[in-house]
Amino acid sequence: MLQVFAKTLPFAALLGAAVYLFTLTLHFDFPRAPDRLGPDVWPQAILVLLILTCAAGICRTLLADRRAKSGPGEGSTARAGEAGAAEPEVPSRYGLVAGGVLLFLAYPVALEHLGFLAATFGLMMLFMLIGQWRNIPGVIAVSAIGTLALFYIFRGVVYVSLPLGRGLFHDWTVWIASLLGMR
Amino acid sequence: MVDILLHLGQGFLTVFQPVNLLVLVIGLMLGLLVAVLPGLTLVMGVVLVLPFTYKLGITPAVILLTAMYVTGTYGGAFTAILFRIPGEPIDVPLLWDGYEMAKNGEPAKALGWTLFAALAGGLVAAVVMVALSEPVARFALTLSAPEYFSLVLFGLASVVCLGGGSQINAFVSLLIGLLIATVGVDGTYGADRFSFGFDTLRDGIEYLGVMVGAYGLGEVLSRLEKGFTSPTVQQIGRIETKLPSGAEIAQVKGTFARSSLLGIVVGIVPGAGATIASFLSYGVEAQYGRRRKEMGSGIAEGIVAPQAAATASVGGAMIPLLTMGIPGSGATAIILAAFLLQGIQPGAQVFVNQPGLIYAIFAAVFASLVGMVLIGYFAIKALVKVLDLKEAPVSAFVVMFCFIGALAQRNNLSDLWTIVAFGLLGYLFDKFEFPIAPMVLGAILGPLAESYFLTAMISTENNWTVFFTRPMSLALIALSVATVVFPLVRGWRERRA
Repeated sequence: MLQVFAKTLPFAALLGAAVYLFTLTLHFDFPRAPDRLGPDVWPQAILVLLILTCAAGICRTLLADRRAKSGPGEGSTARAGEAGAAEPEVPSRYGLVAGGVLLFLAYPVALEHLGFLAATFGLMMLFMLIGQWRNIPGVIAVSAIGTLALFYIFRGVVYVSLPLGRGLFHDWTVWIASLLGMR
Repeated sequence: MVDILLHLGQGFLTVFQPVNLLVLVIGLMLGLLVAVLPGLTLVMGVVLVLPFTYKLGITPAVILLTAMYVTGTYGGAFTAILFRIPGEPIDVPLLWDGYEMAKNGEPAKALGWTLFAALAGGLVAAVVMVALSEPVARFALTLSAPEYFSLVLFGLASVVCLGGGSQINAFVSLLIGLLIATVGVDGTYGADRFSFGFDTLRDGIEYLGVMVGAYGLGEVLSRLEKGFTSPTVQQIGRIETKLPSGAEIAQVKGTFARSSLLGIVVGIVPGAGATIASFLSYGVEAQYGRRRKEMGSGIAEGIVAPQAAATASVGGAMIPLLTMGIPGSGATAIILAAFLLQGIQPGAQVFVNQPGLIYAIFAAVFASLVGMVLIGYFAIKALVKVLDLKEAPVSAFVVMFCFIGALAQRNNLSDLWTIVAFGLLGYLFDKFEFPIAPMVLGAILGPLAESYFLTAMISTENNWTVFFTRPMSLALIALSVATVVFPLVRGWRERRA
């Protein structure tokens, strides 16, 4: 039952979102002309298709579940055999994913306040630690050298305007840039 | 014909200018590297290199990406054959015969067959690309909005049906991509669509953000979920390549011709790329090949079929990109982005206005194939050494390239939120088995589809039959319907049986 719920969940969530978005298209603000298609037609067509497809996805999952309950057929036996012969599955570690997502979310904020050097050094270091690399001197060295190399390449060579940060971090980033021969 | 050869000669002169040549070699090396590393896919690799092209001119930028694209279809063969580690999904079919041949004591021969297949398949496709592009571009000039809409529709139908897996999931993915493309202020009426009051969303969602997030960060998160447990190479012994003899090549000429042709056709079809070409070609060989019953036991046909098709798909995919501005694969979608970032819309007009650029790209494909062979032949051992790298630091750099790539596009920090959002979406897609490619292609082709659709409707005063009364449009719509319906009918028949 839980498996069926997990499989129908994305379709149900998308179906709900599609219905909500469709209601929004009814209120698009534009000068309506009687014989002209407006900017609402295209998204409405997409959303109707999305609603129908999601409904089909839910029906498919429920039907597959009913078929499975009514008894495994030859096909499912064969698939079970194949699955058994496959290599052992590596267990999922959602804690690592959550840690990674939090880091990604924190990076834009850190970038604005701490500047490219400090934010990138922190992100790289923490990401490698989350990624199970336990060689601490290696992590620090790769983060430091990597950050400086990326800073030099993108600011000094490719001329991307990387954020400098605020206050002390700004001064520090500018100082490092001048040490690397960049203005 | 003479004109084409003259232009091609000029293209080679452009490619052999020092800067362009250097960029080509860098592209070749990077393409091989991303193909070898299991954590990096070809498309992700090309995405990550894109920010470096911002300050390059259009010619070196496209040469860099093209070189990566060509070699990216080949590099993963080493690790697939020698260590049973497919660097790319493209290389999975090589496990079935390539790895078996290596296990049977002939690794050098297996690598030789791969090299031959990649070079020969790539060259045939490159010749076809040069020969067909100009006529296709001229033909494209005669098409109007209904035909273009039907062509885009065919591309969208193909990406749903050719990708394998659940068609419903692929269709949902595509529709989400199309929906993403509608976000922002509409160009014709100025209507605010799905921006929810956010200024960033009013500008629309750049498909590059979708690609970088879903392919880059999403893939990293998926691998992080498994704790970065990439297979590692125990030891690297004696590695060499032994090219097949003329007599051996003659025995597989049928396989080679079939696979190259299939690769070109699959490449031309918008939405299908090297991976589909590789699997499809192996499947065709297993069903219709002369030695179909021996497939999987380590025979040359099982190596030539997927490899020739994969590399041939590059030349095929370049044709719709350059002649109509419609990307044939994920990698060509990024090459399209490189064009657009430099203010050039690929299409028939570029053949008229900038033939030098087009023929430099053609020459770059030929030069990349030759360079790929040389580097592949002489630098295999050094290349496979990269498998010793820890995945966590490699992924940390991938993450950084994603963020810098997003930032470099508009110098706008809010673009970073976009890629994080699509990174999370890409991870969830992977988790719930929704393919990413249809969403990305939907985000790329969505604005084109909408624009062609509305233009066709406005110019015909909302006459829906225009898509069915023009022969070319009707043929493309029929093809689209067949592409969708055929796998459904086949699946239904299989279930009934």
